[in-house]
Amino acid sequence: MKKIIYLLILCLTTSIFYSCSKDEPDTANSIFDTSAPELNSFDQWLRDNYVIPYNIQVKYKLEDIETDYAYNVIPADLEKSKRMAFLLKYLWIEAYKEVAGDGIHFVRANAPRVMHYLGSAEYDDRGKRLGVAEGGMKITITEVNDLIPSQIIYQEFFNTIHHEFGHILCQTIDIPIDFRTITPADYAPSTWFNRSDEEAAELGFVSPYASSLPEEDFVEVLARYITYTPAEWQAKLTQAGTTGSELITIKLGRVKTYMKNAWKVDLDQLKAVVQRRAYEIQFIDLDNLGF
Amino acid sequence: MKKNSILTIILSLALAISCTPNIDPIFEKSASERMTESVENVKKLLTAQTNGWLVEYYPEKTQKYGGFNLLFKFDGENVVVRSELEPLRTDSSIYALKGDMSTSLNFTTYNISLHRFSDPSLNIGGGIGLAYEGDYEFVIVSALETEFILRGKKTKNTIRMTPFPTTIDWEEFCQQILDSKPEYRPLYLHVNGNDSLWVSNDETSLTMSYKKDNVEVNKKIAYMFTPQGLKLYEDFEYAGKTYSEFILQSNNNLISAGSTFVPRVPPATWLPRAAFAGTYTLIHYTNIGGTGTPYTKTVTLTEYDNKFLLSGLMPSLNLDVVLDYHFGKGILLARQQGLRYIGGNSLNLTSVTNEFGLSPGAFYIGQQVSWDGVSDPIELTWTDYGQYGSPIIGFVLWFTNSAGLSVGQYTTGPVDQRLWTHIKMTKQ
Repeated sequence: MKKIIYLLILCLTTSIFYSCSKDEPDTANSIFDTSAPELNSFDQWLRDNYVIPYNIQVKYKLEDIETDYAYNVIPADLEKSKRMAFLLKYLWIEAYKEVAGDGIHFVRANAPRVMHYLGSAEYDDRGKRLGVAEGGMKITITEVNDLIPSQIIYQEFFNTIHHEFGHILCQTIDIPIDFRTITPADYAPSTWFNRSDEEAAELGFVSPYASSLPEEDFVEVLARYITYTPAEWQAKLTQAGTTGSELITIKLGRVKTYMKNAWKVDLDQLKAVVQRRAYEIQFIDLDNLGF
Repeated sequence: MKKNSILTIILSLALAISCTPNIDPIFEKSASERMTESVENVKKLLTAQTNGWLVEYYPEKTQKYGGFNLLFKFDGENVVVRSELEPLRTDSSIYALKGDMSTSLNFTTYNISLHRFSDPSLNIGGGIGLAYEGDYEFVIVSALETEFILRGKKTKNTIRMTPFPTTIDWEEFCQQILDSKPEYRPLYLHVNGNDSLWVSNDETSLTMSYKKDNVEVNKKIAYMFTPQGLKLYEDFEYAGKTYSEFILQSNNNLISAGSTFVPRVPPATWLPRAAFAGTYTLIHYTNIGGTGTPYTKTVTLTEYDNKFLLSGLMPSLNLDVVLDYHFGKGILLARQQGLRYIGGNSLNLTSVTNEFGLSPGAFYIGQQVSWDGVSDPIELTWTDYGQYGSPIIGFVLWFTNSAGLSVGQYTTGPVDQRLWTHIKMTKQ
């Protein structure tokens, strides 16, 4: 009896193993398109100038999964995207590379992995949203279609890119505590937009948005110091009056120390390089970039 | 007993862990394989039409702006788009076919002929932030050699594509549309007999009115223009007839499904859209009473998409005011609107009442700009449109912040470039 039972069990187990037909994967036909994608001349330039040296992917074609369905937005124009990619490399990536203590490694380690171009701003019921930085991985650049190369350093988005990159750096190494204590009482996270430029300046903020949170304040000082000409920075200090300009100057000092200690970047040197490169742009024929 | 229970346990275990029977697949290939094939098939069909595809394009989810004729010509990775609004213009851009939620057709780089219907930065349609709310990403519902049915991802509108005839070119086609698009007058039409059908129109839709069980029913359907007349967004069935296309006759009647539609006589003060464009001498005051010496300006009204731009009201700011055309009444409407952002605040054209109270933040309140039916050259007067408790006598420049709250009056520069009351304009 026992033998029969054991035989039965053996048969059953063996048949169970056999009846589980293995679903062999069909290795001959992949469900993914494995053919090499066609690269147009812009794609090739991006590969050689962004991907290979810096491991940065520039997404200039709109992918709906990358944008928010709640916003209305349109794709970037191809020619403007080319100029934008060129200018951002010239005015931002290469400026940092020139100045940072360990040059190219700084950019490789800290630049966002993805740059996403949108043609217009993203609009929802509350108005428009400018560039966005997501956790150090991706920067979204909006209003690419409004790019005017000769005016680039005066355009909002140029400030935005330095602002967003500032966030990425601060997300890696936090802003110094002694920055938060300069104007602690005047941060207004939900009512900053009621302040005019003058009011914000007099309180020691380079912009109304800077007065929302210490983190925003920090990157606004960083970005505006880099992108303002010396005359514009002086005008801001004048607008701020005696107390305001003193506060802003202290803040700038803390930002400079942070950049030097945390990232081995001399901020004044960076500013000079960016301004120099902005001047050099006018001698480049942006309509004939060769790709 | 023990042996039996062990056997039972083993048997039940065996049954439990035995493989579920193989489900016979309905299709020979896997879903992902079929998706890849579908994408390839669609691309072949799209690029096969060397003369392109005629697209019946409707932006906005309720089709409130009507429909537009577009041409899509696919070639490799690029597409050339043309539009009936600018027939001579060709723009090339990149498109992508993806297998996401069904096969989808996406226009991934900017093409002005298409993306003008989606660009939220344009002050047209729903204004800045919305504009025409059109799609540039479409789900492919069906793909045949002779017809594609697409559905806009956000609007869910049905967009039909048919091969563009090789016997005609695009400029000719658009010219025929313009020729058959006279000054469309408000229409009534009715079908004779017991089933009375009244059709009235505005510039972008027809409203069908009929009685069902003694209750009046109104159905509004958008339309687009064709070289022969107009075509409805969706067919309308009534009393055994299907109304789809309306053919224009030389006497301005429209014919559809054998029924004739006759234009009605509009009010004496009605002006067609085209009559408003031009240069005007504008006279206005800057006080409530309209007393003292008025100010004079030279202004122009220019058509821009479906609206009018009024320039010259504030030369130093160099901002244009957007006016809407009301087809049924043959008048223009000047409403509250945002003009531009200054320092994070919105500079608005705000309505002013006869007590210099400001009307609330609703952007639909304003004045009508109308003709008296007699003056020649045309004299237009700006009067209250009756939307608010107190009559609106003019406009002022006022700031609101991003939360929509009042910040204050714009007080820079001469008063006559930021405050206008009792406005009249005469065509030059």
